[in-house]
Amino acid sequence: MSIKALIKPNTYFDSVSLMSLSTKANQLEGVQQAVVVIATAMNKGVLRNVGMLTPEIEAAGNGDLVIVVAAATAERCDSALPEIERKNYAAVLCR
Amino acid sequence: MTVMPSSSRPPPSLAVAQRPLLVCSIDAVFMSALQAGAFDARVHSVFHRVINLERAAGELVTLAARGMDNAPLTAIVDIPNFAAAGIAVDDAVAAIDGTLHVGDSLVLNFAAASVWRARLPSYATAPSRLPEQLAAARRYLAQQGVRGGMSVQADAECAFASEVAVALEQRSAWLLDALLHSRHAEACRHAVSMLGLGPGLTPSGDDFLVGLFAVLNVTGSPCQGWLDGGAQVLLHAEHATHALSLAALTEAAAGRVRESIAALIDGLLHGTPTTLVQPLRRVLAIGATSGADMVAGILAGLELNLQVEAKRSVESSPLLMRASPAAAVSQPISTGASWSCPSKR
Repeated sequence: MSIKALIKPNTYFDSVSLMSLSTKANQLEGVQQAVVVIATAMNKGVLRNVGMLTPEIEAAGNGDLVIVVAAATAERCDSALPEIERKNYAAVLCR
Repeated sequence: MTVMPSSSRPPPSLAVAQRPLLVCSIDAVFMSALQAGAFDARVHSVFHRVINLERAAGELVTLAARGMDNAPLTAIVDIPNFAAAGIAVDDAVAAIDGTLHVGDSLVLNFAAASVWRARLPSYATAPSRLPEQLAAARRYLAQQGVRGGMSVQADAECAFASEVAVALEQRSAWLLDALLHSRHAEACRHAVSMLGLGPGLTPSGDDFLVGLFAVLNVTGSPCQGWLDGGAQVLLHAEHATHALSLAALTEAAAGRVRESIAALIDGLLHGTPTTLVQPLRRVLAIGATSGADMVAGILAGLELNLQVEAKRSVESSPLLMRASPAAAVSQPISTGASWSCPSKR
């Protein structure tokens, strides 16, 4: 299994948009698990516990948004992250 | 996020400013800050119905659209939403001649705004009906299938959600147990371990603590002032969660919460099952699951008060103690973690 993350510095979604984005990300074909969450220390700890902490997430700050995906291959992770980013258009991205 | 010094930011342009929008109501503390003059800020974050402004010292204040409830450091603007306002993060904000200029396109007039003061209800006249009201609230939540980050089932499909659910359930239970048994230093540690924990713009652990802190500030309640109303927890919070969440926690620890939260606590303390439904719905409507998590904190806090009253009653009654040492305090305090809920993803 491969894990890849995208960090969006100082990015705030409203909760409804966050949930919507997370649901859509988890429905992508080939994505085993996707998490969209604020990069607080506690959330990083949980990501570590479930094997989804990457060095990029570890370095992210409290106000940063993390999008992290798990897929069978690194290639699928690489292609999934831009797909999830594109789904931002359906939500209200506040930056 | 870097805050640009006010001296180096361009002031909002008066030339392109539009006709001022009326502010319907404004928190008294926010109004005082405006009246004190020299109100320089920048736009921190923009949402559909909310704009957050960050003052030079880092304090956040909020502009909210019509229909949202009054809240600490918040002004309610007579506009349905801010979608067409043309405001962007880092736009400069300044008070000029009795109006607030936000970027180049938004001018707010506070002259006719009613001033709102955050107030929590008192426990003093209380609440023989509190146990029934808490039961009614829990029945309503169960009937409505209310879901929150505090109530995600531990076997949820998503490993992250499942792990968060377990952590929140454990830590909130440890927190409440430590409070009940007067182990406040330990309680503080457990509360700190909930900061920034969970999904959502404001993490579920933070939302739960906002509800709990509100209850710890209810005048005349058995738990009033415990953990300094939550302020002790926040001594460790600066780097534990983000600015928006920390602002709500800080206000709650000072007994200042949204109007809807105060109304719900009042309904639980002094209302009836019928009058409880509307304030419950209003809090549950906050965010995606934030409202549900706040409700979990409020209910847990009020149950804690009942448990403390029962415990004190037992301790002051030697005969009862011999007959049934812990009967009155053996019931665990519900954190809401047992509500039916598939996931919050």
